[in-house]
Amino acid sequence: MSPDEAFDTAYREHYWAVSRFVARRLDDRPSEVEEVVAEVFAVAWRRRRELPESPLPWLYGVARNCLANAVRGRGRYRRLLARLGHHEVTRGQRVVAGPDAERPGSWVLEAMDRLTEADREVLRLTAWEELTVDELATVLGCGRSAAAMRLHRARQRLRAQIDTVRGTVPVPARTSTEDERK
Amino acid sequence: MTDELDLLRGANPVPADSGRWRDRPLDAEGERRLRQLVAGARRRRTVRRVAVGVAMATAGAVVALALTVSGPASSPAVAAPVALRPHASSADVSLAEIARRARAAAADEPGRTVRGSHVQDWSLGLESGKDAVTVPQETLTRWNADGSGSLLVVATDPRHPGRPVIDDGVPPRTVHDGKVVRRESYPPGIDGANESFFEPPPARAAELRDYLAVWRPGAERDPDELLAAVREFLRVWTPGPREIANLTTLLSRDAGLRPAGRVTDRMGREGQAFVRTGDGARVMVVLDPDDGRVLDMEETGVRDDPEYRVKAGDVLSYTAWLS
Repeated sequence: MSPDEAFDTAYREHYWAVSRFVARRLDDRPSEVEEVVAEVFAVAWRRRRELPESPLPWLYGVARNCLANAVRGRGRYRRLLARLGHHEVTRGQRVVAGPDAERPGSWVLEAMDRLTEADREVLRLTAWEELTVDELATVLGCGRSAAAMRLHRARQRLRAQIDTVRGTVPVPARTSTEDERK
Repeated sequence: MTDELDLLRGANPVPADSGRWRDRPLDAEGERRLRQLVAGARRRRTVRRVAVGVAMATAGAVVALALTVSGPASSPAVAAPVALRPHASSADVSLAEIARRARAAAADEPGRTVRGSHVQDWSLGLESGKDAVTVPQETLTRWNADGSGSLLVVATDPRHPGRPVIDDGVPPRTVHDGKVVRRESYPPGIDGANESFFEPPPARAAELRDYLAVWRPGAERDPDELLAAVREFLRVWTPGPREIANLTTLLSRDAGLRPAGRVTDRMGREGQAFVRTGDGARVMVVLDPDDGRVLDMEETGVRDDPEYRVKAGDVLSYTAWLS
């Protein structure tokens, strides 16, 4: 398969997965999501000779760069960090009523929001992008054992925050600048 | 107790099975973007142009410009670009000789390659069915090893065509009446703004072609792609004597250039011109005959293109390196 054909296949197979990846990190704003996704595939087209056999984790890596650049370019990096991973929290749900009062999404996201950006990204990639540890390593640009360790620790910290959140009302919001650029 | 990852999966804000971004075959917009991407690349290969706005100013014989630059969205008046006119001279120097001189200069003083460039460039705006819109721009970039850097784009002062309008200081500032089209500063990190040619160029000429091909696939085998890669590379890096020697060596061996004579460029500098005619465009590379520094690269059309109202010989784009 030529690089052009491989790109065509990767584009068709992963267009929506890449769109979801970007939408999760851009608070699902359609026009901006489409703009960033277009940039991701423009970069991928330029680098199509580097496309690996399983291109999705590689595309996620490209998307992370494009996302950071696109947001930074508009001076909205801080706002994005404030939104990353807590889609519902940014819509006004700052008070968590407890696990029995509503569906689990809100308090789980609130618990995740109390983690560092590095932990949140590992968890998002694993739970939402459904990456294996090997794929996680590809996206994060680290070794397999480092990726496994980062996931293990992030899970531990999430579990601890879940336990905290379940007994805490209300939950103070963390600031967007704490872990900027981690 | 439920696994914390299962809880997170249940809280996925953008699921794969429902909503706007759900899995399904490509929609019309996705198909359109794919076609646009592939077709755009093919067109670049043949005409070597895409661009919006931008342009052309003076040549040795000055072109009368009637530019009105009021911002990126303005519609400046059009000035017909004039191609550089090299002429045979008894002082002509071959490309191989320039490469030899550059290697000798590098042996004396390897120097330092700087992240960033200072260029004045123009490219013909090609919009189907419309007259070419031309706006000259000057761009100054500075990058640090950690990825941080700055970008400044200024419209060239139309009353002083050909003169620099950026003061190359720290921080860079504009001089004269150049209109600031864009000013950006970037924090540390690799991103879309600086990822191309992020790594420093290799020390040896033999490795340079592969290095260029990483960011411009095809540069390792196609002279047209190689010349395009050199042009892109020089927008990121200002090479020192060693890298200049490597570049001229590569150009003399692999770029398919033939001598065209001496030429005075738009900045009033005298250089040695070499040309290559590829698909749809002729590329002229102007080198400083003494040290091999690339002074200019110019593309001209080789045939009429009524769709874009371009005639054979029209300048399609031009870049002059100022530092």
